[in-house]
Amino acid sequence: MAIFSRTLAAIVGGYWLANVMGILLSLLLGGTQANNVLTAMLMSFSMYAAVVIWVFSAKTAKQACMGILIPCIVGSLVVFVMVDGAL
Amino acid sequence: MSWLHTWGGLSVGWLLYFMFITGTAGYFVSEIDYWMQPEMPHLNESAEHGQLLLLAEQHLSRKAPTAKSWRIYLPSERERTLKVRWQDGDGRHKDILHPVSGDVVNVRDTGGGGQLYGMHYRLHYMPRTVAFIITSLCGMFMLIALITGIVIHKKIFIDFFTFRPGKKQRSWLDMHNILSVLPLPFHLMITYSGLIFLMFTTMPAVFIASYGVEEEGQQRFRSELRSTPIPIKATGNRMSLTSLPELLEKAEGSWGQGNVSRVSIEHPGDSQARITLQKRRVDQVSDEQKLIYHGVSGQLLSAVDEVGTSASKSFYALMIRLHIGEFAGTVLRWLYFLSGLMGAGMIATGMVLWANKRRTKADKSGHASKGLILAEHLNVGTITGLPIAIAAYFLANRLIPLGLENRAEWEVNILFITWASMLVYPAFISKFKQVLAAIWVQQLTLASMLYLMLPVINMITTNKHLGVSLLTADWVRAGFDVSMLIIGLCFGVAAFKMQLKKQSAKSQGTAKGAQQTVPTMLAKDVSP
Amino acid sequence: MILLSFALLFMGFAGLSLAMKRHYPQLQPIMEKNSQQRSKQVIIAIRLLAYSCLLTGLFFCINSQGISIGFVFWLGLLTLAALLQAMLLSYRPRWVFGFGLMLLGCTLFSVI
Repeated sequence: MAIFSRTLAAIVGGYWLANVMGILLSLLLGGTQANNVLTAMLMSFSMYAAVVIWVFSAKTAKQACMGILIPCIVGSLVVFVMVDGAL
Repeated sequence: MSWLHTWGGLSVGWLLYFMFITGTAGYFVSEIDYWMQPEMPHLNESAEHGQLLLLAEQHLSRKAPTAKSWRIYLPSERERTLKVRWQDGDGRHKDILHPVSGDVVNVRDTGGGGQLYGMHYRLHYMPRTVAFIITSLCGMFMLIALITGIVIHKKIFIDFFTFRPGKKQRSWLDMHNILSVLPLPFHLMITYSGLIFLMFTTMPAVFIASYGVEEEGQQRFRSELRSTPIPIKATGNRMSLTSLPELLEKAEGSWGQGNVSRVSIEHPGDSQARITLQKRRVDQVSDEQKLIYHGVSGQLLSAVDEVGTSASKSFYALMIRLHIGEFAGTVLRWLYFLSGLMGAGMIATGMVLWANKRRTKADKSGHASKGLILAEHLNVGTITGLPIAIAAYFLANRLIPLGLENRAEWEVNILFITWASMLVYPAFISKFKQVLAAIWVQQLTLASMLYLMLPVINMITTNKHLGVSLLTADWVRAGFDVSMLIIGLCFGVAAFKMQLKKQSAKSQGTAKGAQQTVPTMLAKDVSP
Repeated sequence: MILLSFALLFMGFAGLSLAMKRHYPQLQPIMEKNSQQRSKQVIIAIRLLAYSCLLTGLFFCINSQGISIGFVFWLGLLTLAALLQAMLLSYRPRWVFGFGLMLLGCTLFSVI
């Protein structure tokens, strides 16, 4: 059960979090819009990898899941607000 | 960490092996194409490029006057023919033209090397998007496996050159380490750049957040990215194209002779036609230059130069070019090929290592789990089975009747049918009390026979076989046949060594139960 | 140029393996010094020499192919040289130096 939850957190949660971080990065960087988006996308894979490795290094499965879930929710809300404001 | 490395690698290992083998074959895609189309003329020179453009244009105006776009690929060092492609209401089409006469060369219907290499990211029998997601997911697993592998390999520098043959699991681990660590820059580059390659499909949320979901926003993103103007729509007014050889001369003036690789024409024959000339990319790793002209007036509209636009664009372009290795000359291309094979070997040794460890435990406890047996069968069915399937693909290219409908599709079907058979074979033959080692020997022998047979079948079915190609200095075709012979010999040696080890293990009376561990041998001999 | 670079890389790796505890005994029969105890300074000296061989190889690659392609070439040659080194050490350690000298010889020959 612990392994299942970690795997889920890593694959699904990691993807979500990588995209959230990517979007935030692209909105916060200076430079042209296209370049920001490109930079964010290029880096998204490292972020995804880092998250996955973190999930499996966390002390307990619960810590890992919470560590993914909470930033995902918070980050998504921030993105929602920023994107809605920008568009 | 170790758990993550093992299970991450194992879960997608077989698919990753497929991607590595087909991808590595891709470094010789032109050469494979050439061998699989024996009707292509062997020429050492072609006509002057201006002349070729006229021939191509004539052909295209005859065959596809109302097409949406034309593309003319001028000959290069590796691709000695003139190719044309066009897109119209029916889809995409192509023709190969003789580089001197301009006549259509009737080549057999085959996917060639491009098809084989394309499977590396497009897989088969599924929509592109699905394939991109699957391959990218595998790529992600690969990235994690690489990082965790580095983290858990504490003695990475001390063990750099270490290989101790003849020690069962220790030897497999040593070889796995060597195949992983020695080409490590390649592995990291190829994995990350592979992920980047498909990122527009796999990470759309990031650009959608900035550009929206609508097509208009997407187009804006694309043109901002490539610094090219947004494509114009056709007006419907017919006007004739300006002189292509003249534009070629202008481009060659700044780029040098022979350095135009491709001429694309959007809306040919329309008043808003656009002609794009692309520079050949041979001497730089990051360099894409295009000249865009008005199709009717011949006026230069824009010059695209990716160099020095932005750090992220340069990085992106660099990663893509490094992945494909387009710029690579012969020696470097072989080095790429070697690294790719080492990557495939890394995956293969990893999986065999895993199976061996479990098998040793299972032999002691007397019980082998279904998962272990499945893994062992998948191992032999993929590690030797895929090369067998590829040999079958090449054989099919020579043996399928030329007039058969969907011939190209059938060549690919044969590849997958063969692979599937090799995957099912171990389960089937186990009913006849065949030991795993014996199955390895059988499949290695089959691989050897098929590869050795290729030049022979070539001789029987075409007149471009080794006897002819060596005499006419057709080095690409000759090289292909010779490579097939060498691969066949390697498999043969592997099968032979394996047979010897199997017999010596038997005579030592160490057999326990119906199954045995796979004897130790050079992993290099196992993977091609 | 590329051949010279490759020869240098191979010698560089030979040097590095010479400086390693595990591989020195394998190469030892050829060495005249029979003592197992080598001073730290000697090991560091060998390492420095080896690394400079590797870097000089990079220099020649860049010289011959330009910066970007040269660097990629160097990485590819490193892989090949290291692989050869590992295989020779496992099966024919006595051939290591002979092979290196042969490579250097080929390079000289091709220059002439």
